[in-house]
Amino acid sequence: MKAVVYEGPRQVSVKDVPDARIERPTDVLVRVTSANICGSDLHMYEGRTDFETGRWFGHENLGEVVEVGDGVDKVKVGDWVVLPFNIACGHCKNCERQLTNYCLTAQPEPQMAGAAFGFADMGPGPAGRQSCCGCRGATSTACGWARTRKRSRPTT
Amino acid sequence: MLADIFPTGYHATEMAGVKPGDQTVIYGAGPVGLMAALSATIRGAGKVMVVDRQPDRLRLAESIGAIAIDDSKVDPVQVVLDETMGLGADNGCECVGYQAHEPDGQEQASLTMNRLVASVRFTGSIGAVGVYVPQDPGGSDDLAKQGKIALDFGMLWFKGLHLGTGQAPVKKYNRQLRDLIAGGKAEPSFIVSHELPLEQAPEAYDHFDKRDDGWTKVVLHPAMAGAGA
Repeated sequence: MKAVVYEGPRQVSVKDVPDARIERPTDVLVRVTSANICGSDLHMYEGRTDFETGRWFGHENLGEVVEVGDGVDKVKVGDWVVLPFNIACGHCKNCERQLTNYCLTAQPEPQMAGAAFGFADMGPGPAGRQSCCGCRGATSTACGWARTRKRSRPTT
Repeated sequence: MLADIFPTGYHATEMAGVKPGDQTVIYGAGPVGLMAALSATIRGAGKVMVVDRQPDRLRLAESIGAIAIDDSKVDPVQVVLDETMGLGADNGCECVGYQAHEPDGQEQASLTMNRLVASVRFTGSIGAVGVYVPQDPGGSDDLAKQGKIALDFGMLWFKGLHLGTGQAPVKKYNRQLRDLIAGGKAEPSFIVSHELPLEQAPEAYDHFDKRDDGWTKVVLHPAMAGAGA
């Protein structure tokens, strides 16, 4: 699959990267169809963070579910979902207080907080998906949520 | 939109406590600042003022009924005071972050926060969703390099202001905001200027980073024609 790769200050490229895949029963694989450039990317793009070269940009993703793990029952293949940029488990002390921006298990490093996705056409990386918000077309009343574990390194 | 910026802009107005009839000032008219302006409007603000210096962004703010304030031409704090009978806004949103800079490009990380402290009335609230970092080796001065800013804390305290900070908990808001879109009550896509294939990401980043005129928001489509292998 393709991804937008950070090469260094003010340098990005579109490259082939390993395909995302289901690794855990709670993973959801999403074929990303829209991915926006965010202003917060620019701090990394300009080299003003510790974001490492070779990692992928992008965390405003929308796409179609193409595969789900055995433990996922709310999100189904064919659903259109938006992926919150927060990576969160949904069941830790903070998530249960709606503080998915400070999930304690998706980001176990106590000195860090939060994490974000990357640009890639099958979702960001080989790790699992999390907390999709159902968005069937623009008129969905169904809201599919998958509480899945997600492993990721922090970004900012 | 629902993955980040609309919930993030909404979160700024939530932390700022925007209520019907409020006068709300927003520093920064990038995508998040414009989403904060949209969110303040949805929450019933009586007057929304948006501060930036990019004409294309200010036009977008005006397109949803906000008052555009160009800080390269006027003192934004004075304009806010003039718009609020000298009292200051009821609440404000910080949507710029640690790379805040003067119109000439000189970075000053404390610029927008201190302008907010000066722009918001006694007992008002500020929601800061612009990114600040614990360390910034590329910062413009020693304080900035340590992730610190010279905040007007004395005035913040004197005025009894409330300050909320941090990244947005997207899931707290995204269903409701989605249903506002689905119900025709919100149209965050008004900021989208470009829809491009993924392979054009490098040039899109370049234009967006330079704030080139008209590059207000880029949506990349991996499967779009021209984005093939």
